[in-house]
Amino acid sequence: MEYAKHFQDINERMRHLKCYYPFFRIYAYSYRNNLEYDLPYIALSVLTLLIEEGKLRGRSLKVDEIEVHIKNILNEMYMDYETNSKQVTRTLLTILETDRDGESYHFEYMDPIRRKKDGHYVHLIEYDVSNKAYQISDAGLDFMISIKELPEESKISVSLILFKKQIENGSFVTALNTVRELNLEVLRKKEKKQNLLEKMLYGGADVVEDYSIFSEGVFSQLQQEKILFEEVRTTLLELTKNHEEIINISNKSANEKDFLILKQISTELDRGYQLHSGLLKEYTDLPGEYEKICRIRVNSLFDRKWHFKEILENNIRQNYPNDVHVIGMHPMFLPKTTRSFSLYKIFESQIVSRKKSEVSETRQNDEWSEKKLIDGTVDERQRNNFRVYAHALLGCVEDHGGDLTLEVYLKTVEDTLGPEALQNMDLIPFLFSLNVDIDDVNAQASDNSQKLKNKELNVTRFEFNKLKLSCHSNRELILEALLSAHEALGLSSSTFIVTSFPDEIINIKKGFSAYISNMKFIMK
Amino acid sequence: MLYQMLSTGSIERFVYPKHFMRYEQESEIREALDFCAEKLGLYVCGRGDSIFLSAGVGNRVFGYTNEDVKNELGRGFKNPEMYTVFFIMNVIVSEFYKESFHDTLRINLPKNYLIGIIEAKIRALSDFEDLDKISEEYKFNFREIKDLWDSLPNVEFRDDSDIEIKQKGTSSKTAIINETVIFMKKHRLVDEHNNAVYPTERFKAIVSEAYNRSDVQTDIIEFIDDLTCLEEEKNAET
Repeated sequence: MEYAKHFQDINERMRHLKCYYPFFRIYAYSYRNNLEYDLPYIALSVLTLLIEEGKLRGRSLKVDEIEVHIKNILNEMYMDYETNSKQVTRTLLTILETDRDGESYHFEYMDPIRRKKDGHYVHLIEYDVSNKAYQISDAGLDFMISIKELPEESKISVSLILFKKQIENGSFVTALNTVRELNLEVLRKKEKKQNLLEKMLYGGADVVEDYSIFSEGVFSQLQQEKILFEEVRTTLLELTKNHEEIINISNKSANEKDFLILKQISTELDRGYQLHSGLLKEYTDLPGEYEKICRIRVNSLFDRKWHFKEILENNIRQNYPNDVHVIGMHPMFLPKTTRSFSLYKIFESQIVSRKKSEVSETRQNDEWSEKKLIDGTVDERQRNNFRVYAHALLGCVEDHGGDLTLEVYLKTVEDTLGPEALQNMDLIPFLFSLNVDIDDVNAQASDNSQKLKNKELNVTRFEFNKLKLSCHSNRELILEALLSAHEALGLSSSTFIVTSFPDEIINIKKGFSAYISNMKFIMK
Repeated sequence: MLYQMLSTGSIERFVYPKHFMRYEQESEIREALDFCAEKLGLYVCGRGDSIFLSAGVGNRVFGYTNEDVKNELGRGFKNPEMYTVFFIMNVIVSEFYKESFHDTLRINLPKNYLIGIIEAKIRALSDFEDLDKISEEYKFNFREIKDLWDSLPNVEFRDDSDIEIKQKGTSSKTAIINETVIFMKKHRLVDEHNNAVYPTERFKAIVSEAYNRSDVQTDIIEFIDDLTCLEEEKNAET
């Protein structure tokens, strides 16, 4: 078995099947959704309407017109119950036009020759935006023609069937348009030839393939037109010979008009024949033209430049009015320039604006600059010194068996930290702080208000276990210093009692006039 | 032809068959028209039976300025709203034209689908750590668009078949989308039917031409198009 030929044959069959695909999707949709009405059946009815009332008359149909048709069909089909014709129309038009997501139906199959998938986008009807109405698409027309058994007609082109039907229906004006469209098709092929020629000149990726497609296209056009010309000329000849026959076919009294249109059709056909011959000539001349252009193009740029200059000189020499030179600029001199929104506007570069990041919280004074403020410096110094004194105090109390007098403490400070430590401005605040009323802090930590009531005069108690539970940010400097020293020394005692004796004044250092009440420290 | 196109915006084959045919058949005429239009910062966009003229990028003589756009969009439209409108237009273009195809495979864009896809794309924008940097890179105000969109309520669509009331203005996401579509309709770029947006021939011609122009910044549309692709990939991974 020759598989290449076999696959080619199947590919061709698949291509023919593409126009059936939307219909069977509609069929499946209707089946899946258990619709009350037969959607595919009504779809065929609407497509027939679009051919008979639309395509054959050269017009497109408004939604209202289609809706009326559907309403009548539904009334005939389902006499027993009422169906919402508006809803049916909307569903039907959507599904005939798109796959319900706005896209065409995508018919895809594996092509074993090219070893890749071959896809076709198909829709049966299309919405004419300019006329705001629907018309049958080429695929829809193809589908409708191919499902009706017309053995002899199926061999010839869709255009021919249309044209014949239009003549039979007496729609001569539409038939005239069909012939004109056919002529336009020839002109389009001419344009394709021009594109191909340009592609050949500048070199394209698939020039050889395009050339063969073009030549095949011309041949198929020739064959199609040959049949068309023969059949249509025969029909027209018969019609024009017998004027009475036209009246019978068209059923119109104004047959004179029809006769004139038939004449026009004949003229158009002759023109089509000439165009057709021209197309053949163009096709045969293509290689020669290609070579000729290649030769000319070598000097074309140079020639063009001098050509422009020559024209300009001639214009000036012959004293032509200035309008001649300003044709290119003419639109600029319009009294009122028409401005319009161009879609290219959305592709223009924009000036990107950057927003300042929002400040979510107020900055603290010291966050404004890196410069340290005096208060901060003092706090820091005092904290450090308090820690040193506290460390010395608790260490000294521990060394003395948990009982210590202020004098002994001051002597220890002088011995260990030096005489300057007694003159330091933070010593007196430290000793004062040992007397401050911190019971409220203790009470907060212990939640025991009884303590406040049983408060002894001139006695301050520091309960380390409870102090540890208090909030760090609420602690006084002295508490923090004592806690830190307690932890650093790893003391087991949990209570530190400071008793002051206001009546006994002692000198902090001999020769240094600084005095303070005597104090006693107990650790237990 | 240039004069005519400047006055009406297009030339139709059926209105000027002789001119149209000559334009089609004679390459010199095409070149001359392109040459003159280009000198004026205009693009000639031919498609099917029509030739359209469109102001090129940055053309302030024949094209709209930002102020013109804002004025026409109406009260409440400031820069962020206008940029959002441009973003929506970009989404519409990217939905119709995938991967720089010459023609669109999509027939229409249902409106509920449109709001869903815009929402998804802006959600994808949120995933970028440095959106400001991306905005700078693409020269497109993604940050402003995202911030505005996030601040707007998502009003439900009302089916326009029975109720003619349509939400307009800048008060909701739906309203901005509606205003965008109305604006595009006014400039013959899209049409609305059956609660879906349809592209016009002018729209198709301009977009096709955009992909052939080196001065048109189409990478922005590729970026916007890829936004939801990235999300789809992520979903697939998870």
